[in-house]
Amino acid sequence: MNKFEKNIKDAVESYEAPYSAEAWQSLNKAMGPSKATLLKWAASSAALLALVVFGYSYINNSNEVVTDKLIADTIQNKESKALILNVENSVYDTDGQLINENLSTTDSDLSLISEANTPIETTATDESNITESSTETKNNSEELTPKDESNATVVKEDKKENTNTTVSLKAKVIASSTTQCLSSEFNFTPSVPKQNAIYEWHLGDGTIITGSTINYTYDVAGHYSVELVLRDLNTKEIIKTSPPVEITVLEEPSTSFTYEMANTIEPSTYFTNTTPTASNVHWEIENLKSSNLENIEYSFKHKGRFTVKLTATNENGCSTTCSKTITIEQDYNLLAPTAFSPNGDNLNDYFMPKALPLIELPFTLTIYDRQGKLMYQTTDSSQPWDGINTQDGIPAENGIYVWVCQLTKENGETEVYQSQIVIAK
Amino acid sequence: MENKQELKIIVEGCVKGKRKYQKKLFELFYGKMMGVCLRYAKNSDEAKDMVQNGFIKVFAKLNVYNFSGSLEGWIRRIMVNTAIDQIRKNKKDPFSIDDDARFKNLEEDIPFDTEEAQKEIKIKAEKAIKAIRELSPAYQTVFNLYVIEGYTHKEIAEYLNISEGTSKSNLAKAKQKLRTLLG
Repeated sequence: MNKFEKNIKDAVESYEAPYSAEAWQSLNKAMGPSKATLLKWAASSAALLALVVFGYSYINNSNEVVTDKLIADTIQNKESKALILNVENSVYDTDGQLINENLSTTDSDLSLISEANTPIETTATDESNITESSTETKNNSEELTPKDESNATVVKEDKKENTNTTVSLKAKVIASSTTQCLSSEFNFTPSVPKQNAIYEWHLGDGTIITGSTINYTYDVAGHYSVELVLRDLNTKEIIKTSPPVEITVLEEPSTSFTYEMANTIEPSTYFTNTTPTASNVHWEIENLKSSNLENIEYSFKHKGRFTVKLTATNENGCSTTCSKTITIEQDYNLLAPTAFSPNGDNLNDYFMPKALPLIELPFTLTIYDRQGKLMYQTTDSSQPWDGINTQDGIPAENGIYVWVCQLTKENGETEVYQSQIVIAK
Repeated sequence: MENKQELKIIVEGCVKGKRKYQKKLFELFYGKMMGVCLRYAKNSDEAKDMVQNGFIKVFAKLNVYNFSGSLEGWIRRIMVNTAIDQIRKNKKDPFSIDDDARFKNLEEDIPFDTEEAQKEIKIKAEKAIKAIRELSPAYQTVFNLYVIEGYTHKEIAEYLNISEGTSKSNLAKAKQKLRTLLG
């Protein structure tokens, strides 16, 4: 981006139009009646709970509401029962010294008092303590409650019927990643694990999996909404559904290639990338060759089985690998014959690997007998061996001889071929 | 800007549909988003419409906002989408036609406030926004998306359903026009 563009961008980005109350009025009107007005009670209590979660110490100021709400929740959930007890105790704690008189009999009761004085969020997460104290102090709390004659008990009765959902459970999806390639596994975790509920994951493709934390790999690329549904352990009714988390599963290339062997002078295998949507490819032929070219060619010199891998990457950055095993039937030996008959009958009287005159590369061909004695050497493909020992001028006897050819390739590399040749006059 | 926790409370309030929190969110982001929409709109009335429709979408979708990115960035993307949808609705093939006719009929009704203290810095932005708005819709949108929003030509082409070539040439022409207007 040049300076001119950047100047405009900087100027424009920092710009803020003056606030317009009129604009809000208009929007307010356009949105119609507030959802909150319609669901006043539910929303306000939910908002209050949200505040509690964020550590706002509204408990002391609005004892009644919080306590009422939590009492209502008891019906659903043991854990919140513990919560209520603590809240109620703290109510008394702030109102007067009642707690000490009522709860000072045993050690466990004393521990409860200290619990009761800690903030709600701490007690809520400390599960083991809560369940203990909730069973031990149930009676105490029942004694305590009626003492608040003014309103707590009355409200408790009222709200029992109204509350069908428990807002105290938290359902929020934490995804390991929101965008991944098709074959990668997604990991979904609840923001709050181990609540008293069945964790049911709706993965957006019709799959439903139950479990506290799950891993899942989608079958088809696309966009999915993942939701966590909390169900009651006993009634199996839905207690809470998380906001959906939108995830994107990216298309992967369907990597493929073809190959073709051509047995010309030098055996070549041609590999062709046939991936429809590859923006990048990488070839790997065992330890022999690697390349980023679209199509490649390789000459296998030795027989055997070779693994060829093509990794294609598409524009999403997703990649997959296709691998094939190539079988090479024969070593490549410059198309050399395995025997000749230097007997002057004009049939197979000379030895020269057939490829050498054709490929026109500089070479040195050396022939030894089985004892390793030099018989013949040439760098000229028009000078084949006639079967005569150049050291002493005597024709070589029938038998097995060894030839070694050192070839210098176009790129300066040296290749060495060797094999045996049989003289059979 | 408000701190993160306050934002979270505001967002949760909005998700619950509480008008009070919606108003708060609106107050927080109206200025910035009006700035964004002014660049896409052809006049301030259209920009106001875009902002209003954008906020309605924001409130409807806030429940999927997961606090992973900046809230402002998230709202801004919705605004840009809304603005482009609106331009699309108002005109057939708005992004591929080089409509130069509009250059001759400029509106001069930008309601910028020119408070003494902020005058100097604001005039620069105003001037730039005004110049961008003087571009034809085809140029204007590509310039906004490419230079300010940071999209690639490929993305713009897909988004506006034009060719990459058109996107590039519109950008080049937009820059040329802006140079004349601002230079």
